[in-house]
Amino acid sequence: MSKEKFKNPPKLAEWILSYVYPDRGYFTSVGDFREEFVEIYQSSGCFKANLWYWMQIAKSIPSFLRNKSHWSIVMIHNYLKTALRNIKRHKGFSLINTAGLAIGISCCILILQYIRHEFSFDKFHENSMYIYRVIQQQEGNIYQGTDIFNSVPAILAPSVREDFPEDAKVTRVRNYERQVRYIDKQFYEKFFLYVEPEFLEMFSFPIIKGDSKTALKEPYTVMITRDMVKKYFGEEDPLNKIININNEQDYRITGILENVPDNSHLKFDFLASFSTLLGTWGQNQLTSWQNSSVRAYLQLAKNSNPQKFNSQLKKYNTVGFGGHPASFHLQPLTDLHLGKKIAFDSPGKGDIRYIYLYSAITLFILLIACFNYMNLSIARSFVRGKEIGIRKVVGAKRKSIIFQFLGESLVFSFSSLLLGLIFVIVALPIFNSLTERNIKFDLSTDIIFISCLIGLGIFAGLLSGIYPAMFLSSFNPVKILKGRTDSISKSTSSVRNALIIVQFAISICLIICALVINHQLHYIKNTKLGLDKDSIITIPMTNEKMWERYNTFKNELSQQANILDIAASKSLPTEIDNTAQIKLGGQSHGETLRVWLNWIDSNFIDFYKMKIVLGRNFIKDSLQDLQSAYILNETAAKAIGLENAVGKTFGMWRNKGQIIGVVEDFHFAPLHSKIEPLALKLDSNNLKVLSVRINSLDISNTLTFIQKKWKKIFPDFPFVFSFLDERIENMYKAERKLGQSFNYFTLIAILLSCLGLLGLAYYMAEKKTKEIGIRKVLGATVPNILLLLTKEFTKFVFLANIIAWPIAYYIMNKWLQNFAYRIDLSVWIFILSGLAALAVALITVGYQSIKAATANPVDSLRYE
Amino acid sequence: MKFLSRPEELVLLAVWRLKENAYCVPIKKQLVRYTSLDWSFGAVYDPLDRLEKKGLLESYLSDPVAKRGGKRKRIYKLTPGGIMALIEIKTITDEVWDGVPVKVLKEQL
Repeated sequence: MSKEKFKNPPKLAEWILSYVYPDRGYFTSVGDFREEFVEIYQSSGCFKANLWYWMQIAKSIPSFLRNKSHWSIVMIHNYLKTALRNIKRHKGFSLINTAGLAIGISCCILILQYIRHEFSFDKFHENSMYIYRVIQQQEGNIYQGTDIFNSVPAILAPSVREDFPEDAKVTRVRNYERQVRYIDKQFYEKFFLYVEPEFLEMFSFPIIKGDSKTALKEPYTVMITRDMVKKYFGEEDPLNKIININNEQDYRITGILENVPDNSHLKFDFLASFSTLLGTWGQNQLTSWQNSSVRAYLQLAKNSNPQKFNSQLKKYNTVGFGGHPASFHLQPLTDLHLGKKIAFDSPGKGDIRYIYLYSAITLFILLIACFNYMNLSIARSFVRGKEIGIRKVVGAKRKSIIFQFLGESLVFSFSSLLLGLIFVIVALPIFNSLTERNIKFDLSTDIIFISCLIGLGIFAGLLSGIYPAMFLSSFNPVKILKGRTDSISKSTSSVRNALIIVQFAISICLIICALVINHQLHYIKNTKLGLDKDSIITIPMTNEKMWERYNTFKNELSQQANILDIAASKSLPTEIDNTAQIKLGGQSHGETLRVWLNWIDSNFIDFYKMKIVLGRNFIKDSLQDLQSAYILNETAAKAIGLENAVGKTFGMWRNKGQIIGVVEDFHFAPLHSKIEPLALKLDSNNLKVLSVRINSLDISNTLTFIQKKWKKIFPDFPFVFSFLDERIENMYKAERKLGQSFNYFTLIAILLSCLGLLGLAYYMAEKKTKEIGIRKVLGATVPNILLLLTKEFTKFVFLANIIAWPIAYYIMNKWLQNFAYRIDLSVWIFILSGLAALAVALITVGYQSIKAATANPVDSLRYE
Repeated sequence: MKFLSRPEELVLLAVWRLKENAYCVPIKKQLVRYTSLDWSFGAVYDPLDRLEKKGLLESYLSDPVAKRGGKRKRIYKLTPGGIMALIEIKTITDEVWDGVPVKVLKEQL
């Protein structure tokens, strides 16, 4: 016999085999296989032996899988059957659970999408990591609650370009509202940006037609978006067509851009060459470091250090407008949307606080829904106790019971997920209008979203299932089967009660918040502004040429009986946005006072029914008044010294001013800020907006009349108007949206809490059927029994109040700090919310209680 | 008694023939030789398990064997019932096949 050569099968193969092949004790089959392997190895060689061995494994895998899964499938089938039977038997309970969880989950889905949208802002640019906006801090120049501005001097960008040619690409951006005309179509366009050619290199806005290198080089060239092509040109090819801007200049269209995505903080419909502005701006605007008129964006080279660059910007530190020291800083592009508040940023800017707030509330709602599930599952444990007992006796391990109940809650959470998706589709339009976003959602393509959904389903399932599963699996089968459930009910009641209290605390908190917000909104709406804002339409007349024909227009209008009065001003009295420094001591030296400034015509004060408290109004056509007369508001007059304010002179710019009167304070800014000093000046050149008071009985006819006259006199300008009271309401849009969302959230939270309570009351009543029967037999009255059943819930609501009040007080107090003029947080709001919660709870519990209390005791005791 | 299936019958016989060495590998080898078919381990284990369940076979473990990677052999042995079964099969088969010559059958082909 030749030298016996032992060659063993590969270790891995042997290990797999030992795992998949049914064993007959002590790995005897593995041994058999090894023996055979060695034999084949010796007779036919290594390759054949290996091949044979692996074939054996491959062949045994199907039956291995079948054997392995067989029993788990049998058990799962059993679990499923039990679950389905339970669902069927307790239809109400199942409905509460699924609907509740579905609502919670749909809230979560919406908020998740919202958060994703918010965080996606400006990230679609290829270079988004390297792009920064330059912001300017003017220490002490507080405007809109911040001293950081998004605008910088126009000279900054060329300076950076010159000083750091290697490190950075720069573009200036300037936004104007423009009047755009193509043949007979004319509109005001808000999103009209002037940018430098670098803009298209830095940002990745897709270009449909045109050359990104040359399109914005020459002056008087413009690129337009796809929507604008449709709006002005329809099917025509717009390339190289000429559009007219402000009735003054002609711009040539050099390119077409894709519409700007929703998640871009830069919004534009027109992109004109910055070189256009160079011709129209004065030298001062282009080279002064005091005049901040453009935004600047900067793209750093990939290897340069932003912090270092930021500190290098120190060399441009200067003294800005009004003598405030100004410094420049970099703000990452991706921070723009959710970053800190910066003056003059568009109102569409996101707010990280809202994201936190919404996430917190959603989480709470999901919590409430999960608590419902937990609570009802625990409450039902008396019913399911027997099942668990039997399972345990028959040999179920604790693990498998936990698995069963977790599986059940997962089934619930996933069916809720499906239902929730339907809710989401229904609620999406409401949600979009609340958040002012355009969130779409597309299930088929969005893998992240789908995985989020699955994650959410698992999370909700585990969250709501883990406690019941742990708890139910801990039953002692002997006690359960003997029918001794007292110990269970005692040990669970504290957890259950805690869950109810937390649920109600959340609901009460939300009720209070909703009440306070709505109360404050009501307060804002009804605060006397100090001027008459009703039935006034405002018409912007931004172009100077229009004022040449103003008198004709005014005369035409005043012939109509429904047009009561007309006034003109630079800004509307509720939106004054100019400031100036007045030098109290005279022209050159002395104390200064910062005042807000508005230019008005002589009719303005009477038109808005403001009260002159001291001195006199402007006199029409008075040359002297036109030159130097000012009317201050009370706050300004107080700052100067109210008694002797009238007649006093002061320096303003290079001129002398004299106070001729004092007008009663009125709110010329949103109620967030206190009334500040204000000066009104008579003017005829600097007016920009027309206010027309009309008869409120016949608005539509009057409007058509005005429009007809407008077309006649200003055929070359579009007619645009708005109602003053609507404009005022729009100032509080954010607050109103917040109020609305709180209303929705509160409603949902209450609804969910009630659902849970309803289910619980049902089980409590059922559990106490016998007790109630006996009590009734022994002479208890219906009210007695009602008290018995509702006492506990009432206690819970009281406890929930105690938890909720301080939290709600803290949050709402903080929110109200945003307003200079605000309501007091009265105790009544809190008490009212508490009572509302109590009433809701009692109504919910009431039905079950009455049913239980009025039931005939004979029925419940018959079988004893 | 219940009839045994053909593989069971063959396996039972092989165990009897192999005596002390009746574990899976040689059993399989014998079956291959008898039938000139390729028997897999599974095809041998299955009848073995069934026969053991029916009480016709019993098994015990040998000492670990180096050649088998230190694994034991499971050695099968006939029980009295097994021997009875063999006797019965032999008797029935002989009686049933009595006077059936292969030669005549072949001519009918």
